[in-house]
Amino acid sequence: MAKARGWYDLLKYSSLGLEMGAAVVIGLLFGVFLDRKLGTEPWLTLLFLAFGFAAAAKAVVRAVRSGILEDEPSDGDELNGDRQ
Amino acid sequence: MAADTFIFLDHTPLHDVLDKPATVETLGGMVNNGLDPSPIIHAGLVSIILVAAAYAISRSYGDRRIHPQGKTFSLANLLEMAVSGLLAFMEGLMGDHARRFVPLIGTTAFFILFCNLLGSIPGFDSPTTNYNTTLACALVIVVATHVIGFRAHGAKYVKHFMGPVWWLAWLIFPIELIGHFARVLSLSVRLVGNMAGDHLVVATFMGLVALLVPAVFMGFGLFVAFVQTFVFTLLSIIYITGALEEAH
Repeated sequence: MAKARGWYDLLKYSSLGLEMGAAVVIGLLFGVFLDRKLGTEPWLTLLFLAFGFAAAAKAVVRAVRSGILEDEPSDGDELNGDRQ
Repeated sequence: MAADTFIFLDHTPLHDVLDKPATVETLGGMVNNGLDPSPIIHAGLVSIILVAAAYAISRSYGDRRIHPQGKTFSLANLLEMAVSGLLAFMEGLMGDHARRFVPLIGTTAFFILFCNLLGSIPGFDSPTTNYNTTLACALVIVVATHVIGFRAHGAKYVKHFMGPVWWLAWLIFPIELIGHFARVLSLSVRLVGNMAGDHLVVATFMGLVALLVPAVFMGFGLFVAFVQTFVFTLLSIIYITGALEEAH
């Protein structure tokens, strides 16, 4: 079971890279779209690009936090064997 | 923007190598409008296969809950193995909620798996090499995530988007919104990129060395088809679990 978990985690965290990129792209596109609609170039582009970066950072924080939370109970008897 | 970016995926290179037209003449309206009906037809084929198989297998149970053990291995046995494996995998990640979401996750998983594998049959094409198919799958999952969240928490689900303190909500809300749109993009682009890329590799090697060498990459393609189905399923489960848990 412990081996299978490592395999899930690998796939789970491998999705992080694409999610970070996607967040920046979505933020940028949304900013450009709003700027063209409202004619406020380039301010909303910059603002939403920053939001995109923040969303990417938040994805990392969320993944790290969930990783830490998942690791904590494993100090118990079940997974001790492969910790050492 | 997205449609323009991915338009090159409409004609997979396999069509060029095998000299097979990507369009079906009978659907003239779509062809005249520059649309490629091939993924729709193949996705429809996959749906028909899955529905017919599910119907035939469920009929074979009759009014029993357990399938009679025959001497030969049957399609029903195979499906039971697959579904119970999926359920065990989901229970490992979601606990007690797993059983409720087997229909949603299982349907997308089988649909994507069969779509991915359809491309390995000569003369057929994977619908998942077209961005529209994968975008549809990703949208279904992400929209379902929010529906599930609202049904589980009611109006309090909005707290998931508001962050820990109310005076930061104006800042957190766009960030969370972008994050949720990024999920749609990352789910769909990962699937389409891997499947189209895999077909591109096979097509390239078929053009270079037609004998034996592409077979290696076809085997690799089968592996990719399963892994990508697994990743999509895993991420769907993680997103649904995230919507179910309490906002922090």
